[in-house]
This record gives sequence, structure tokens and C-alpha cells, in this order.
Amino acid sequence: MKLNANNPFYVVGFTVAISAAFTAVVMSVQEATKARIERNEQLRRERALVRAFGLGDVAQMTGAQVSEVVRTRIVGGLRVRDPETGKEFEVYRAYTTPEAARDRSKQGLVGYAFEVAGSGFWAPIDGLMAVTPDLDKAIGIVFLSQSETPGLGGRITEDWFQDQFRGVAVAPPPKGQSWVYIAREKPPKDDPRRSRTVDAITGATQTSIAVAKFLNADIAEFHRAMAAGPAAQKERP
Amino acid sequence: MAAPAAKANARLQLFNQLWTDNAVFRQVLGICSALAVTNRMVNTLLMCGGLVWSTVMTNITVSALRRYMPQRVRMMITVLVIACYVIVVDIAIRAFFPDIHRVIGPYVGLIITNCIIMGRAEAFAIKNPVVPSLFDGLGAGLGYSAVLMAIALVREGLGFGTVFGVALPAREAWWSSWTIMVMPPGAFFVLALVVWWARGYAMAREAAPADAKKAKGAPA
Repeated sequence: MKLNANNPFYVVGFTVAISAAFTAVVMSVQEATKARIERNEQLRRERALVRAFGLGDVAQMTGAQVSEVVRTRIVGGLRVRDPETGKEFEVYRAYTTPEAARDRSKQGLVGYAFEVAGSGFWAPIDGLMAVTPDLDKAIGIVFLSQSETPGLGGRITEDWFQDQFRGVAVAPPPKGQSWVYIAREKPPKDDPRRSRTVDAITGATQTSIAVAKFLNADIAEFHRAMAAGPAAQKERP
Repeated sequence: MAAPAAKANARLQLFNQLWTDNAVFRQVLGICSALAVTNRMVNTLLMCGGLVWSTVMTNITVSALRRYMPQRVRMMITVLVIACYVIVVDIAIRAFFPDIHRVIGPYVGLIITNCIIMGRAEAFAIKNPVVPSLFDGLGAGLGYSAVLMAIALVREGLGFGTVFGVALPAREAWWSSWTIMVMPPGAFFVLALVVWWARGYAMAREAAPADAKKAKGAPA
């Protein structure tokens, strides 16, 4: 029997059959890799937390070791809200030992980590910043996603840039000054802004300005949210 | 077993797509991704792998379905087939190379609209058997990949001082970063140079036999 490929029923039947078959292929591949993709995402965030808190050298650690540190020494689930802007932060707390984490010991508290995010030069940038328990100094920062120019603004994810934030002052600044500066050169030794300054990336002025802008906004909001006290804090079960 | 004529046809088709009718420097197709993903060789390699896979599989599928495919929905079905294979590539890169996926992810999805794939399916696979179509797709994909890898080699070398992420020897002594090479305009310059060289070389080769004939016929 000769096939009539112009028959409308055949056209509809063929289209539906092909669509169903190829959709099934895509769904099967998606389903087969779903767990792995989710694990990749989770591991990426865990590595960022461990690195931001300075709890280990993530480059030398296996995925299982990173997960173990996060599971035993980092506690999430605390949400705080800035009463001024209404912005909410999910706060992670890191502890020196698993026991301290279990008891939520104040003496064993390494610091807090919160999300920092904003517009870069080309696209949104987000990351995690960890600060000491008194909120006065940064422990570290990790930029998780960015689409800045490779080799220029894209270098914000390089270790040398992120490592500069270790120990940078993030206590409330004098009126009229910024919380942190990303500048081409450091202020003189006697200038109080020096402890708040990190080196900008050469040739990436716009990215440096954008990062400094959203970091200043987020750090200010985080300070206000933490200062708002338990009334603004909600601990999830 | 494939007949000798079909074998020769397949081999010819592979070579044609690799060089004679190269998609990038002969037909100027697939330029968007040539500009977007060529500042790192590893990223380019994965992108090329995705395109080769999509071109080959689309050609095979379209060729296998050609007798049954209704003409009026032909292009719609072809786009569906291409989209399916590209999504599979996208998922695979996201699962196994998550760091690279974050950089080239948006461009992998755009393989669906790459003119090379639709072009080869419409121009060749829709009216030819599976084996020559496979080689046609392979040739088109590899031809595209060869040009992209050449561009990436120049851009990564000059822009980052590395090849496949490995620092060039003693680069501190002689290398200075060409910022333009890591930005999209750098790809325009390198692509233009590649097209210039390839077309010049091809024209010189084509002209050589004619010149030889003239020289033979000329009086001593």
C-alpha cells in the first residue's frame, strides 16, 4: 500500500508520534541526570560556604569532605530582616567544632555568612560573604555566579581577588564613608579607609564599581537586620 | 555493507564539508557561537562536541525519516529533532562539566538555531541515505570545529597566555595580555584573518592547475 504522506490524519499522527518520542528521550535524559545536577549545585554552594568561612582548603578536599564539614559545622535556617528595606537574609553560622555547632555555642561561633548580590557590569553577580561574630571583619567572600568579561571583570572569582577580603573591616563606617572600597590604590597607612580597601582589577573599573556598590548596600542591610534583634529573626525548625 | 559508490560519496561529502564547503569560512554560517565561545579552548571544544553531535544525529534522524516525513511539517519536525539533541547535550554538559556550563550554557541552547544544522538537514539529509548523511553532518561539524579551535587557540594564547588552560612556556618574559582577544571583538579580527587565509589558500590551489596548463601550452 502506498503511503499518502499528505493525508491530514497521517500528518497529525506523524507529528504527534515524533513529538512524543523525542519528548520522551529528553525527559529520560533529564530524569537520569537530575540527581547529579542537583548534587553539583549543592556541592558548589557547600564549597563556597567552606571557603567563605575559611574552614578548609576546598581545592584539596573531596566533595564528601566538604559536605561533612558543612553538615557538622555549619548551621543554616536563620532568617533576619532589615527593618528599613524589608530585605531578608538567610544566615549561615559556622562553628569551630561539631560539638559547638550542636550546642550552638557562642564561644565556638566562627561567624555568619549571608548572600551578597547585585548588578555587575554585564549581568547579575551573586556570592556569599562571611563575617566575624561581632560583624566587624570579613572572614571571606566567594562569588558564585557572574557573567563579566573573561580576563577582566570575570577575574572577581579568582582566588587572589577574593582572598583580599579576608580581614577587611566591615564595621559601621563614620558618616559619609563607605563600608568597603574597591580601589586602584590603597589609601595611606594613617587613613582609616585603608582597612576597608581591596585592590580593584586592572581594566575592569566598571565591574569593581558595581561590586563595591552592591557589597556596600548588602553589608549595611545585613548589619541593620542583625541589629534589629530577635524580633526580626526567625529560626526555622 | 555499503556499496563502493556510496562509500566514495560519503568520503567526498566528509571532505567537502570539512574544507571545500566549510560552513564557517565558505558559507559564513555559525558565526554567533564562533564569536561567543572562542576565548577558552576547553569551552570551545565542548561547544564543538555539542555541535558535531547535534549535526550528525539530526542528519541521521532526518535521513532515516525522509520517506515518512510529510512535506508540510518537514521543517517543524526538523527543528524538533534538533532541539531534542541540543537539549540532551545541554543536560549532559550541565551534569558532567558544571563549571563550563555556567560559562557557555546560554550558547549551547542556541545551537538549536545554528544555521549549519538546519542547513545540512535541508540541503543533504532530507534527500540522501543515512550513511552519506552521517558523514555530511560529521564533516560539517568537524569543519566548524576546526575553524573555531583555530580561533580559540589564537585568542586564548594572546588573551590569557595559556593553551587549554596551561600557561605558555616562560610567558612572564615575553607575553603581554591582549585584552581585546578575550572580548568578542577579538573574535571578529581572528575570524576575518582565518577566512582570509583559507579563501586565499583555496583560490591559490584552484588557480595552480590552470596556470600549469597555460604554462604547458605556451611556446618555449
